[in-house]
Amino acid sequence: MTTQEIQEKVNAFLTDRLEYEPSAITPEAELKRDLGMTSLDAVETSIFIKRTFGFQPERGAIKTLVTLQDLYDYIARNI
Amino acid sequence: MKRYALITGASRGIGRAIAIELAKDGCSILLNYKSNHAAAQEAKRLIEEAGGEAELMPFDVSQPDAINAALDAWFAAHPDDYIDVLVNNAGIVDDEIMLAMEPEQWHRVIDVNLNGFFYCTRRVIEGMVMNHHGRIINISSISGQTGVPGKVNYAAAKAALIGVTRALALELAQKQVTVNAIAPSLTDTDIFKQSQAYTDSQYIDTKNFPMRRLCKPEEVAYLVSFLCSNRADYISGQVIGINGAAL
Repeated sequence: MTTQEIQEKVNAFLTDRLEYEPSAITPEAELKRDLGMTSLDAVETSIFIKRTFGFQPERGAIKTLVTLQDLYDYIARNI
Repeated sequence: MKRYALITGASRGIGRAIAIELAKDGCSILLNYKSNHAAAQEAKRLIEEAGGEAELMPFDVSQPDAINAALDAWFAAHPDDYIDVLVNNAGIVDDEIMLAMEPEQWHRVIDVNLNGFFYCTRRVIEGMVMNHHGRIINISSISGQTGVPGKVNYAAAKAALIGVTRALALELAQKQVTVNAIAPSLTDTDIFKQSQAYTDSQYIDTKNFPMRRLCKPEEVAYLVSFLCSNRADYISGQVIGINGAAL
């Protein structure tokens, strides 16, 4: 899976499922501060990653990521 | 897409009435029970007679391994489905005055009535969160609100269910999952008969009840039905008594 494909799938999840503002979706956006990611959103993101990319993020791993680019990179490293 | 409802302790009493009512509402029932196969089969028959459908799902709610085994199998057989309604109803009584209560009596009642809530709910809410819809209904009791002599274990568990209802409702509100508790007063079930065998008769003489009668299991089921409907989308974190003005 290419980097672009990862970004497209993640961005679609963030806007369609978590209903984040599309204009706020940039690589440098901070998940918590800029996008408003809650603890429950982080859990939902973990489940999304497991179902979409086929690996189970470690418990609490998503909450340690700061920016959206960090999330892309985390997925790319683990698939 | 079918709407699945898991009701714990559904072979008899309040759980069975809830299962029948939700089946009438169109839910496909996952009918949990611990060991009374004959009662569970009869409950299934009554559901089917009412035009609904049910599958039996036996496990002990106090045993997480058993819960996971049953639900793993169900999820494997239903990869595109989730459980939209969970009614945490399974409960036992083991009455004794505190002075004579053995630790085993305390732990057994807490295990089934409270820990069972945690094990079952923990396993089911993922689907609700991912689908941004769900209903969790915890069957508490007036015992958890007022206290009843001879039932410190039961009262503790039922009061705790009120606390977890509030906390979990706040956790899941963002995902449009509602969590409510129902607190019936003494209801005409086998648990009532067990309590009746133990407790001083003055406490359960229905002549002392405001409406001069017990709660009926169906009356709890009607409220569950409403809370599971889309008319109750904005009702969450509530404890609703069904007690004939007793509280």
